Amino acid sequence: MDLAIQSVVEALGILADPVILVFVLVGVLWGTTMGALPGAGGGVALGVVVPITFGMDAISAVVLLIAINVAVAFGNGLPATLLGIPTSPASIFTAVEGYELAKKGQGNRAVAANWFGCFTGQFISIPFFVLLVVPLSTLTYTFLSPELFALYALGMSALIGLTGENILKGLAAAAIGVILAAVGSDPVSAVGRFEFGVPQLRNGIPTIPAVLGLITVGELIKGMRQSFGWDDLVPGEGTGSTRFPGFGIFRRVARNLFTGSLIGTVIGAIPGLSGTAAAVISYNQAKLTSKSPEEFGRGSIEGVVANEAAQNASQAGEMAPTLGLGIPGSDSMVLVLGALLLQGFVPGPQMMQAAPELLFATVAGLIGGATVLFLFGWPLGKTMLRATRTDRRVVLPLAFIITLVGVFALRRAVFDVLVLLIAGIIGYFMIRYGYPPIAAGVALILGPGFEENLRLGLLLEDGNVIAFLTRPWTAAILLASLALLAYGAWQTIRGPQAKGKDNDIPAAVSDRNDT
Amino acid sequence: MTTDDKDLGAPDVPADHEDGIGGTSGPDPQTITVPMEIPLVDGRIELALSAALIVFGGMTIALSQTIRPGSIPDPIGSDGFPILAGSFLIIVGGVQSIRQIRSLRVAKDHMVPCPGADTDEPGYRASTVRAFAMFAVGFAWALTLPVLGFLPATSGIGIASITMMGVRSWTKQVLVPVITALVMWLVFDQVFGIQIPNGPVETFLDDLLPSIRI
Repeated sequence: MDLAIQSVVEALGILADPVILVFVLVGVLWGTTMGALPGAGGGVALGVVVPITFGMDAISAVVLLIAINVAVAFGNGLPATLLGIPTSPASIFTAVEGYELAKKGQGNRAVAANWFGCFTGQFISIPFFVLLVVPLSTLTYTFLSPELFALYALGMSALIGLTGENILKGLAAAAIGVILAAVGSDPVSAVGRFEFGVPQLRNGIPTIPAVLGLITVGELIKGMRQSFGWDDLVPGEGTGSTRFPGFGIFRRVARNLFTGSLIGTVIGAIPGLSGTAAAVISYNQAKLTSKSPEEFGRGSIEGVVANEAAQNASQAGEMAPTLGLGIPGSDSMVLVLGALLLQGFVPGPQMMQAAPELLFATVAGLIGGATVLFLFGWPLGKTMLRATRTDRRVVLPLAFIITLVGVFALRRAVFDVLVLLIAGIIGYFMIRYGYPPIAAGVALILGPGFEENLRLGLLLEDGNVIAFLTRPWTAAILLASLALLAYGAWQTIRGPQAKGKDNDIPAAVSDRNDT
Repeated sequence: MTTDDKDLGAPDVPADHEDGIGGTSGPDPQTITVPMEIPLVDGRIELALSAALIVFGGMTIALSQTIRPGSIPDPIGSDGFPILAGSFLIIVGGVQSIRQIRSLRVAKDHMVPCPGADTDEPGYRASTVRAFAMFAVGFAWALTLPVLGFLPATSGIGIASITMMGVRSWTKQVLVPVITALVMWLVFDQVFGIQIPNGPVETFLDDLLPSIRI
């Protein structure tokens, strides 16, 4: 408990530094802009910045990345609310309800609901994040190789939730990640594997360039297949008043705000479940318990708030397994994890003991980002809608070039840029043909630890697999992994039909979800 | 067909109906029997990707045989994980290939449903050639950077890629990439102190600007 209170106090101390405040402001501005641009989102927003953070100190880098992540969730909701364009699957119901309100000339109420949902979700989830992550630090000396292997197994089984609509393709993507992770020195016996005489491969495939290539470059190049402006997607009709509607509606939706925030934090903290699952559950819960269920689907403030509070709260929730266990739950978290590795940190139970300042910086990023959005979210929201008027044909190539330069700057190595581009080609085909690149990215990051701890654990137990299960923590975590695997497989198999039936997404919005 | 597609010799095919490197025309929507919300892709390419999985898995297993045994014997060994992952890829590739062959038999114009595929924005032309030209631009940057220096190489690929996107305004085509390259050079080289390859232009600017490293 001491560490929990200390982390908030230290975070406020970090935020007192004017340079850090500038990083928070820049992060919020960048994150909101990229979140508001269809096809950009968290993967691109963080991917472009991660290599740049290498030149910064660890605290500033973490604060900047977390502030960006906080703001992307807010940005996602803006075009969904006023333009009916969900820029991520988590904002589908915001697009349904918000756009219906906008068409009725109540766009200002929809944006206000989005804003309320955003900062309430963020603020409520912060203490829960701290309370979830701090106890994990006490496990430092309890966790040996078998327990750490079980944690990695939990992360790998969470992959099942990231496998997309074809479970086989998702697992194949993960297998590709495992093979790529095997390149270089064997973690146990230091024997070289798949090096082909290339000296740069002795230490393995560089993780950051490979993950950025799979997730960010693949997405950018896929976007550059088509030459059109974002404003071409924007419907022409007006959205009514742009005046602030007042805090009166806050009272009406208070229950949805708090319930959605709680759902978002809890669901986000479960590896393999994400903001999308949180938003869908929260929206359905709001619909079931609403006094005006007939408004849902026709422009419901409660629907917007429930969706946005949950998807924003899930951001902090996702960070608990990422920092506390080293298990990333989304593409954004894969990149945050990569950035931490770049700074020399190894997320997991040990990290909180070895580098508590990282926890303080994370809390600072969350508090700073949420506060900036609370203070400036309303005008920022209105301004950022203009981002969709920027020239997409210029922004995408520039984002691609910044990524190239950033990756080169990591180690001043042309080899890293080549890895980035080759991984980008693989990522491009994966995206185009339904192989989720995030599954490959997660496997690439978790693969070495998974293999090392399994093999060391077996050595520790004289090769006796059964002995693993007699260790209480190992058995409990492996059991949780199995449950997660079974649940993920069941969800993926029942997937699209069930979602379509349960949630009744209007066809117009469903069609736009490709953006 | 857009101007840039013409310039690049890109196949003139509607979005969502293509991924043919050689280009194919799309199917008549009336003849498609699967629900429209499931994306359609060229089944031949999907089949090729499934076959590539088998080849990749097979190569992984074959190359794993060349890994030397380590000095510390353990039940799994240095080649255990690669062999397991390679075997899994062969199985998945095989299953996917059989599925694709079946789908292709009944497909019209080789277009098959592909759940989870991220297809193009409907109604806008898509160019696979442009996508690969962008990758080529990236490789060109990596190769010319040590020779030309940062500013000319980065400005050059900026101008090339924005032009390929179909922009026909000199401010956006030339001014924006040159200013972006200059800002990046200032941030990385002058502010963060990360040395990036210098050519004559950077040397000149280095002499001109006072160092403002943080």
